[in-house]
Amino acid sequence: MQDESFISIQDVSKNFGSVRAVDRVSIDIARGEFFSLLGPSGCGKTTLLRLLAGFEFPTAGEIFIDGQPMSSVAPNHRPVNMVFQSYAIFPHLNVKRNIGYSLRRDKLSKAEFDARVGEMLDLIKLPGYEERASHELSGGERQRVALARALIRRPKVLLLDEPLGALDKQLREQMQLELRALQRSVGITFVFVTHDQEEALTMSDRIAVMSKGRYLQIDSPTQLYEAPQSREVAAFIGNMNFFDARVQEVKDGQARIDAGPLGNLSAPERSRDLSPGQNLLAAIRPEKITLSAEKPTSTNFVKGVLDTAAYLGDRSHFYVRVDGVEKPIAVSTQNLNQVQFGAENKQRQVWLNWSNDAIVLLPAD
Amino acid sequence: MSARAKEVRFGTLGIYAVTYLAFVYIPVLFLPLFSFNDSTFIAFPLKGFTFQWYIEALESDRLLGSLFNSVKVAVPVAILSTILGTLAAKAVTRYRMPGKTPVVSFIMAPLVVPGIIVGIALLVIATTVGVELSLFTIAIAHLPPCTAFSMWIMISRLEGFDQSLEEASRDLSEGAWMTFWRVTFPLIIPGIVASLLLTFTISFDEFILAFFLSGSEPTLPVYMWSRLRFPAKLPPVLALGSMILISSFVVVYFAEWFRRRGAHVETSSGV
Repeated sequence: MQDESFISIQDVSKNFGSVRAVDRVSIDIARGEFFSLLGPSGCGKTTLLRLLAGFEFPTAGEIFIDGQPMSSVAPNHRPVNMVFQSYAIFPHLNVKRNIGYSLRRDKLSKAEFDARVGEMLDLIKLPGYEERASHELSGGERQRVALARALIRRPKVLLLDEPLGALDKQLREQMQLELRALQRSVGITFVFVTHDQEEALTMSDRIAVMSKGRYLQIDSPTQLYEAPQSREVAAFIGNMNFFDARVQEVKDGQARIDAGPLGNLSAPERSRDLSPGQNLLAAIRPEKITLSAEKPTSTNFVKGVLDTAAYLGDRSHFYVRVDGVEKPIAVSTQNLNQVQFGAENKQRQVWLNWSNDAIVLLPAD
Repeated sequence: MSARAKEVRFGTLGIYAVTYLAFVYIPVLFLPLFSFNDSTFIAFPLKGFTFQWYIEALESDRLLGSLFNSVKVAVPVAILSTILGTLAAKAVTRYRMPGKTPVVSFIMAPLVVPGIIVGIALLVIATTVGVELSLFTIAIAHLPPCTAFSMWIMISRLEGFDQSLEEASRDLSEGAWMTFWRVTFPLIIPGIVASLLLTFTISFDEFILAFFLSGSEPTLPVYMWSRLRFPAKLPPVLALGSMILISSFVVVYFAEWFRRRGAHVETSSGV
């Protein structure tokens, strides 16, 4: 583990007065990985990033980067650079001086300096921007300049603190793809902080979902979405319907589960130890439920009444009331063909059905 | 610009505003008025127009001497208090430290402690210790209130800019000292200029401390005060006073203009 982890966060805690912002976190990140820290504000993700940058020092624990302990290393001597949430473009310097800011010590000739900056401008697709003043840049351009400035010294690690948060939706989606492509081409390890789960899913190799100073789960985007290990993770990433359930019997890798009003469910046991009588949560994503007007022929189904319908163009969202279930069940369908149900079908009787492997079993809270 | 400025009618508030401004400025305007009056008596009716007092003022060695004394005190005080005020403001705004609030209050206190009390106290100390009264003792006395003023200006300046700019510099391989010179200093220059101009003005105008602590070399305010006893010597003082009044207006106007311009550049470059 030690030799393949490039960044090793070992049992790190950070206190601010009596507040514990990061609580005994250990994470290993591989060389060249795109690693995201995802969580709501105040979960400790930014503090963890600042610990990596050297703006904060751990109260306990140690951070290794490329095998070197970092606790006594000042930010200016770390092999990491950061893209700030506000971009922190120096307002008194033009684009060229911003990007080349960290080259002062290298004592480059003017031609060499201009060449290095020019290379970066090509990389971020803003050639010819050398003399622009910082206030002439748009949001997306500022973000690119901040990126070029952080990459010009070829750091071993690039830290990104919600760098896309200030951009509008379209630009953000474009920058997500560009950032990912850039990371592949430069081969630098990226540690990316975001509260936007969609962004984390799109870009990351692995994601650490954080809450209250600790991480809940570290996994690939697919695993986090398809196989969350706790209610918190399941609820934070995407939408999820939860049902109280109890294990009845376990046979051949399948568990028979009594989910009260939903009747008996059948679910894959997966790696979890299930024993008869155990209380559980059964969870299912809205898009893994099929909505139909007729009674389905499959084994897992339930009857309900359409409560609300929202048409979103490419897909529709429905809430279906089922007797004995407190919250209406969320269902999401792709509008592949003509729209089947609309707002006019309110109070209409519908059927929900799902396949066995759509159900995720989680420990009861 | 999107919200249209609300139109204010010239009503009761307008009358109040004009009255207020008249109350503040009309007495001050008597100074230049009488400085051109062709009479040694400061009284109406005006006799005639003359530049005589200005010529006398500029030819009086003692008057000009006191003016230079004031400058000799105010220039070093402005520079030193701005350096101290800037450093104190940086410490207050950038570091977590125990007892920050009381420390700031103590630094600010000279702004509210009556000058006469400080003047007497310093005089007592100076005579006890045996320090000879001079321009130096005046400068020492001017330093605390000027430093407080400077810190006040610099705190608002330092709090006004995105601190991640300094962090970005540290991140981009500069140490604390170069970060100050390459990022912090260029961004707080407007505050520093404003601080230099205002502390200079404060020290230049200050009377009570200078009165208690001046030895054989009076500063301008002290000299002017001593002339009040000799009506015949007063008109040149009025002439010099008028010149200083105009220069003060110009200096303060520039200080404020500089401060605002800095604030404007700051906000317009924000995201």
